[in-house]
Amino acid sequence: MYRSKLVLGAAIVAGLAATQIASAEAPSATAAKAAQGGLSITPAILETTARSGASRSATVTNSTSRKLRVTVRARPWRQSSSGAVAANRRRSLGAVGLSTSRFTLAAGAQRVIGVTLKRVPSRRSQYGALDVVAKPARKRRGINVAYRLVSSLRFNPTAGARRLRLRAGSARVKGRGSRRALLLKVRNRGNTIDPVGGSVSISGSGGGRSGTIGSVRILPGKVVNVRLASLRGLRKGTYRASVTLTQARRNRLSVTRTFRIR
Amino acid sequence: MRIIARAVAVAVAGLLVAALPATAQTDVGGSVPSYMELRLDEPEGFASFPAGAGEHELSIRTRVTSTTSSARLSAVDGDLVAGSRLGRLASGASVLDEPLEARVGSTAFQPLDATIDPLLVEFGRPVANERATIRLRQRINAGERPRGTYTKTLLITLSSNAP
Repeated sequence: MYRSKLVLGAAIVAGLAATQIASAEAPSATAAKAAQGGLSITPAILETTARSGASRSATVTNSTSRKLRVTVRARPWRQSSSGAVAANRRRSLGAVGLSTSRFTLAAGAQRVIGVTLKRVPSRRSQYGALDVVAKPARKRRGINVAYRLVSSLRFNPTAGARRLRLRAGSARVKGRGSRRALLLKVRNRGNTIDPVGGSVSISGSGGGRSGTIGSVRILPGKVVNVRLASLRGLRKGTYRASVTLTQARRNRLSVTRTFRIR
Repeated sequence: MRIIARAVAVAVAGLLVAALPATAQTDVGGSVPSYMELRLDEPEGFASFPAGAGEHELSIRTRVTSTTSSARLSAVDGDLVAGSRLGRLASGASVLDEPLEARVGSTAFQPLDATIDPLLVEFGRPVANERATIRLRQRINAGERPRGTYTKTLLITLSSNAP
């Protein structure tokens, strides 16, 4: 009797330990519940080859507890000289068609939006934004917040129509002290948004350095100030920067620029 | 003694079986589509203002999930895209002199009457449930007498930061 009680006790201890290990790895139901509620879109990047009639779809989900009025538009990007983009709310992309552009989404509901390239532009590619705005069905006094998700549309050129061309402009020094950096104006004269990167080597009377250039996507036809390197620690003087720009893993352009740190 | 030793051995064996993971190996793979999600708290306020000059503030709590390598959060006027009323609270024909302003963290307040979306915060990496609190500010000038109730829809925008 004593022996069987002892064995049973040991088994309970082992069982409890096993339960403890299992519960430590189980997801918390409370945390999962708290993680609900909002507006989502997937995929956030719609990408395909630019052919007439080429299409992709995105799913918009309302996980809030309210009914939302949704408006969807395909819009062109505006790109700043820093490379950041924002959807241009004043314009629409005429070459891109949407299966639906206005609908009501009940709480917990989702809707699939078809996106089609109606015609291929002369550039042989089309880039833009899918602008999804969801407003509460009932407006209150005061501030009303609404959701806006802006995802990417990429209709890339076919392999045969692909053009990779870059043009480098002037270099300039921006910022002061530890935030001082060397920038190079780069225009994308091609028709893709393959990231532009590369390497830079700086030499001059006050020292030198070399490094890689952080990649940036430049819209076709746009100019972006590409950050070449930090100039932190370099003394006043005249310097030479030898820059090699790459796109789609190939050397596209090599330029040399002279600049001065005052 | 022998009985106790056997019981301890059984217990230890039980613990080992429970604690040790299975050692079988398998390949796990899959494709996860890119994803963006924005969650917002509904703020209360700015429906009416007390008489007299001053600054009024309220905050909007947001949570952002984005699988893109770079995303940005901004706030824009949801009622208009241009014009003199852009970014301004209005009560009928009466429009406040100063535009609404917004910021995240300790950056400077940015007016919402600009045609370019003001960047409030940038996420330079994929994020999951990242919190950001947007502070809104409305300034009432000396001599300005706000009347009635005001409404404005603000679009809290989560956008890819690369084309």
